Amino acid sequence: MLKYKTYPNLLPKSSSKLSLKIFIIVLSLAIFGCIMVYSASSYSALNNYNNEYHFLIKQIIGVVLGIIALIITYKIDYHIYYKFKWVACIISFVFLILVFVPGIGVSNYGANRWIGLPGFTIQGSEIAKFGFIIFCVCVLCGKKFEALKFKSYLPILIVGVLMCILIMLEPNMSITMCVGIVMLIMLFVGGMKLKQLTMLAVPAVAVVPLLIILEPYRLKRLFAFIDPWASPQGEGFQLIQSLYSLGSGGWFGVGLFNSRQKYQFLPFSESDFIFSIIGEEFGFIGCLLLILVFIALIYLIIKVALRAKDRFGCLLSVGVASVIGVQILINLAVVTGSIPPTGVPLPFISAGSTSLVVFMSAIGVILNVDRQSRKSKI
Amino acid sequence: MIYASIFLLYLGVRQLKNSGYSISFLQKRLLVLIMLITFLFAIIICRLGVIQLINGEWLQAKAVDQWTRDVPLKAKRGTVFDRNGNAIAISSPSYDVYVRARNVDDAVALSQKLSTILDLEFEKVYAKVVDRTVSETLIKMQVDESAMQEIKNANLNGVVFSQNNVRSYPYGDLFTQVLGFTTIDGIGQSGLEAYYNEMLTGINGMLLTQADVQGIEIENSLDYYLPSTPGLNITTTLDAQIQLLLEKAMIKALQEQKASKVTGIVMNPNTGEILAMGSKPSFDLNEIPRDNVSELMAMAKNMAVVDIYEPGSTFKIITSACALSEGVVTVNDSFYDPGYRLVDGDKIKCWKHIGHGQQNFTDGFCNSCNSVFIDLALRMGIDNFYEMLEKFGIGQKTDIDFYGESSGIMMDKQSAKTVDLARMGFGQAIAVTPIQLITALSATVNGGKLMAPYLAKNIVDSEGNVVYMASEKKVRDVISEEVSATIRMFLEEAVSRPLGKYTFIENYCVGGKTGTTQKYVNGAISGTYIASFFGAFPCDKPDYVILFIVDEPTAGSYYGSIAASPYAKEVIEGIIEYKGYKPVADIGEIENIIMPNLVGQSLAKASQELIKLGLSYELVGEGDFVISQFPNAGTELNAGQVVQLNT
Repeated sequence: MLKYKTYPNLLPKSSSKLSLKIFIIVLSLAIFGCIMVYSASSYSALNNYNNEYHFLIKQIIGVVLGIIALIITYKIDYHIYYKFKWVACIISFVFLILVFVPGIGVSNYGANRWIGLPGFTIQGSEIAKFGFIIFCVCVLCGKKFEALKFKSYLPILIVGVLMCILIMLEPNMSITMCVGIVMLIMLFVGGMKLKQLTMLAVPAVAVVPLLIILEPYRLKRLFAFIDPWASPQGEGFQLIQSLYSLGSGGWFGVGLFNSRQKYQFLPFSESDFIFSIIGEEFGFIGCLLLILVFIALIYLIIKVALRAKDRFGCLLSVGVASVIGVQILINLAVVTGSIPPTGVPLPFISAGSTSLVVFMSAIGVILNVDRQSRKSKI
Repeated sequence: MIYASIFLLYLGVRQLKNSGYSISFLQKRLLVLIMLITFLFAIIICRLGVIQLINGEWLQAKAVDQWTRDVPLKAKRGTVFDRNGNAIAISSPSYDVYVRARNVDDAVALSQKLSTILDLEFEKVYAKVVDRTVSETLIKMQVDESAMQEIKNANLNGVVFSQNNVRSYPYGDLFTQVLGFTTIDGIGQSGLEAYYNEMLTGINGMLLTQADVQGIEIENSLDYYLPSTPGLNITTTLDAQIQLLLEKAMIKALQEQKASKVTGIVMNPNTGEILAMGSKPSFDLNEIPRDNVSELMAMAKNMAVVDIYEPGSTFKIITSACALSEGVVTVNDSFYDPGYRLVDGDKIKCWKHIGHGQQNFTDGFCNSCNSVFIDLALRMGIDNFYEMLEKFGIGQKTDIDFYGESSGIMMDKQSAKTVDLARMGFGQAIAVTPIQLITALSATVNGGKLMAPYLAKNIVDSEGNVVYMASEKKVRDVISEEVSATIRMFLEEAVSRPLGKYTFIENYCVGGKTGTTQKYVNGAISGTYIASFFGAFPCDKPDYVILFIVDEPTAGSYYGSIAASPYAKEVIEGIIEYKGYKPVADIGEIENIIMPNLVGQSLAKASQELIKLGLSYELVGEGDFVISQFPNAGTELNAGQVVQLNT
C-alpha cells in the first residue's frame, strides 16, 4: 500500500452530481466544438481538400476517441499515476525530443511541433503538459517532501525549466508560457513560500527580452499586437482579421454558419482562432455564455480538488484545472488582442484530435478522483 | 464585470466558512488561484465587450470592405447630336474579358471558344485559363457587344466581363476642335466634351459581389446591384452638313493658298446659334494623335474662340455701323482720298497708295478706303467710338459655352492716342477673336441686336426629360434697323461691284467684305498676312453669316478677295443648295473667263482689259507697268472674280 500525506477532508462528501455536471459540460463543449469546427472550416476544407466535412470528420473521430480515453482513465485508480512519476517525465521528454527527429517530426509553419503518425499528427507538447503535471504532483506528494524547504521543489523546477527550453526550441512560445505558468501554480498550490515564488518570477520575466533578441520575429509580433493597423497586410493581419470577426458579431452575432470571416479571411479559424468565429456567429452574449461555462468547469474541477480524499488527488485536479484554465485564458487573450499572437488551441473546442483526446483523458482522471472521494467518505 | 467576479469569490469564501470547517492552507491558496483566474476572465470579458459592443460597428464596416468585391459599372457617356439629330459623338459599350481560373470547369472548351471568338492563339489563352496562381487574368480588352454576347451564350463557367465605354465620332475629322475629345478613360479633355463633361459623364454604378479572401465569388450569396445612370444627351446648334461644307472649303483653302492655318465660323445672325465652326489643319477624332502632345494641343485648339487677330478691313463694317449710328456720316457724304491721311503729323497710308480720289461713303466702303474710316473714327472721337465698340462687345468675351475664350485686346481708353483711334477705324491696333467679330458683325446685319452665340441647344436625360433648353439671348440693341439695312446694302454692293447685283453668286443676293491684315510678329511687320472674308446670306435678310480666315497664304496673293472669299463663297453656295434657296433674279449665265497675260502691259491698259472681261483686280505696288499677275494666264475664272496685279 502506498502511503500518502493526507489532510483532513473539510467539505461535505461529494455527490455523483458533481461528476455528472463535469461530464455534461465537457461533452457539450466537445459537441459544440464539432459544430463550430464545421462552421469555421467548411469553406476552406472544400477549397483545400475538396470536402467540406474534412475537419468535422477528424473532430468527430477525436471526440469519440476522447470519450473512450475518458472512460478508460475514469476506470483507472488515479493512485496508479504515483508510480508513473519518472515514466511520465521520461515519456514527456521523449515526445518533446521526437519532434526534432527527422522522419518523425513534422515541420509546419516554420516550427517543429508535430509528430507524424500514419493518418494524423500529434503535438508533442500536448502530452508533455500533462506528463509534467503528473510529475509535479508526484514530487509534491513524495515521501521526502517538506513544504517549507526550497530543496523539495527543486525537481519540479529543473524538469519544468528543461521542458520549457525544449518547447521553446520547437519553437512554441505559447505552450512554453502555459507550462511555465502551470509550474508556478503547482509550486504555489504545493506550498512554496511566497518570497521564494517571487524570487522565481524575476528570472522568468528577464527571459522575455532574451527570447525576443534570439528570434526577432517575436518583436514584430509584439509591435503588431500593440498597433495591428500599422501593418494590416503583414504582422497585424491575423489580429485584425480576428478583431473583424469579433466586431462583426456585436451583441447577438450573425447566426450559426453565417460567419463571413471564415471565407479564408481569418487564418486558423477552425483551430487557434475558433473563438473569433464563435464571437462572430453568436456575438458578445454567446461569448459570455461560453466563458461562463468554462469558468464553471474550472470551478467544478477545483471543487473536486477540495473534496478529494487525499493530497495527491487534490493536487492532480488542481493541475488539470490550471492547464485548462491557463490555456483558455491564453487563447482568449490572443484572440482579443490582449497579448501578442501565439498559437494555442482552445480546449475542447478547437480542431485537433490530440488535444481533445488528452484533455478528455485528463477529465477522466478528475472524474476518478471524484468517484473515489465519494466512495471513501460515505 | 470585475466587481461581479470579486463578489462571486466573496460568496464562495462565505460558503466555505459557513460549512463550519476551518480553512486550510491549501484551501486558502486554491481560493487565491480561483480568484486570480476569475479576475483574468473578467478582464477578457471586458476586452470582448470593448471589441464587440463599442468598436463592433467600426470593425464591421472595415470588414465589409474586404468581404465584397465591387465591379464598377461605368455609366454610358451622353451622346452629342447636331441640330438635326445626327449623332456626332457616341459612346458604345465595350467589354474587357477576364478568366477566373478557379471557376473554370472545362479549360479546353473555354480556351477554344475564347480563342476563336476573340481571334487569339489557343495556346496563349489556354495557359491563362489553367493558371490558378492568380485569381483573375485579363484575356482581351475592348471587346464589342456581339463578341461578348457570343461568349456569354456559350455558357462556360469562369469568364467574367467588365464593362467600359468607347467614345466614337461618326463624323471623324469633322467637328474636331468644337466637339473635342475625351481621355482614354472617358473624361472630356477638350471642346464641348470638356465644357459639358459633367453633364455627359453620368453616374457610375456598382456591382457588389460577396467574395472570399482571394476574390472568388461566394456561391448563392446576394449580389448588390446599383445601376449606373447614363450621362445627359446634348443637342448642339451645329449642323453637320454645313460643317462639312465649311471644312471642305477650309481644306481647299489650306492647300491651294499654302496657308498655315484656316479658321471658319458659320452662324445664324438672328439667334446666335453656331452652325459650324472649326479650323485646319486638324485630325480625325477617332484616331487622336496622342503621341505628340504639343502638336495635338495645337491642332485641337478651337482658334475661332481662343485665338485673337487684327481684323483689318472686315472691321470697317463695324466702324461704318458706329459712325452711321452716331450720325457723323450719311451714305452720300463725300470723301477725298489722296492715298493717305495725316493724323497728328503721322502719315497713315491707304492700301491703294495712289489714292481713291473723290468718292462717296458707299464707294469708300466698297473700295475699303482707309482714309474714309480714319475720318469716321476721328469724327466720332474716342469716347463715342469706344462706347459703340463696347456695345458691339468688342474687347469682351461673348460667353459662348466653350472653354478658353479670349477677350481680345483693346487699347486702354486713356492711353489711346488720336493715331490709334484712326488706325482702329480701319481695323488695326485692335485684336479680336473670330467669334467676337462674327457676333458683332451679326448685329450689324440682323437689324441691330447683339445676339449671344451658343453651341448647346438642349440637354436631355436618357429618359427624354429636358434638363436644359437654350433660348436665343439678346445681349442688347446696338444699332437701329435703318443703320443695319444700310450696312446690308454696303455689303451687297461690296461684293457685286465688279459685275453688278446678284453676281457674286449668280442670281443670289449675297453681302460680304474682305479683309487683309499684315501680321505683326514681336511688334514688327512680318511680311505675312491674314486674308479674311465676312459674308452674309441672303443679304436682304441674312439667315447665315460666315467668317472665313486664312492665315499666312503663300501661294501668290494675300488679298482677302483672292485667298479667302472664293472659299467662303463655296460654303454659301453649298448652303444654298442644301437649304434649297430660290434664286432672286435671273441675270443669265455668266460665262467663264480665261485669265489673259497682262505682264508687261501698262497698268491703264491692263485694267481696261480686265474690266472689259468682267474681272476685278487688286493692285500691289506703285509702278505703271504690270510686273507679274495672279493667277497665271490661261487660268479659268468666274466672272466678277478678283485677280492681283503686281506693278
